[in-house]
Amino acid sequence: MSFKILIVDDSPIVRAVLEKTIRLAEIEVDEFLTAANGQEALNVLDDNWVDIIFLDINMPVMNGVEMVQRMSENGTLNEIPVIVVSTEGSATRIDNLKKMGVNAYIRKPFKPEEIKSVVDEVTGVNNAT
Amino acid sequence: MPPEYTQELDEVFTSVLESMAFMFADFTPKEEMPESAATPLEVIINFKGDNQGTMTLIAPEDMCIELVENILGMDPDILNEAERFDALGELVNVTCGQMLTAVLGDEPVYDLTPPVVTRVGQDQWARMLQYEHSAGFMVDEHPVLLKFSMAA
Repeated sequence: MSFKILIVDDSPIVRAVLEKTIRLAEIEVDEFLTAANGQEALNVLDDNWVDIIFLDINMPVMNGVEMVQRMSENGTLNEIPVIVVSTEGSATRIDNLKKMGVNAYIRKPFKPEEIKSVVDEVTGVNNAT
Repeated sequence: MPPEYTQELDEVFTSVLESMAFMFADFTPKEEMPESAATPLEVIINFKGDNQGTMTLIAPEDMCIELVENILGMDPDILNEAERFDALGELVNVTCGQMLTAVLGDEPVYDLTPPVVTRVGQDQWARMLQYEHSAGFMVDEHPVLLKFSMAA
């Protein structure tokens, strides 16, 4: 199974590192799309269907929490699995994000095996075999 | 800086650098730190929640080049200045997030501002070196000063 993945982070270095780490995790990727904040990401989603979103929290213009909120109000977008990738370690915030519909959380710095495990979990790859 | 913060800053910064960039930080007494750094850059991140505060790092610009090489395995010459600076900003972003949970636990919620990276003069390096709550590190050959300050 090959995925179309949207990476949302205001840091170009983090976007590049995520792409590299996803490839190192041997996840099959059809295409990477990127956005520097939540608003840019919603604009991308207006014209593209993606299979997974990797989302940062602290971003200018529109942060990750607001983007998740906006997605939850949209009957189509709220079906896309969202993996939050953030420097934050607040269990309270992670619980709140999961209640809003976020599927998984990865804390920076991350490793390829963590990315692989979470992608398998949210896409149901392991359950399909 | 209270002694417990110094220890946590040492543990967090060392761990983050190793995980992110395979680089090693040696906690260094400030009297052994150099009195100047080549083309210093300053990174500032503010956080706000139950407490508010700031993490500040000053390091030589050359450290960005080594960070990019190690993090991305990429020739830094193909990146522009803002992208190279971004590597240093992200290092401080991750360090600040890890430091908050190391000091305050995982219950409080904090909002972090995006890192701001600017060139500063030797006078700023000297001020940071003299500041009693800053910590000194040698990261490979690069001198680094780091400060974590928090108010209730």
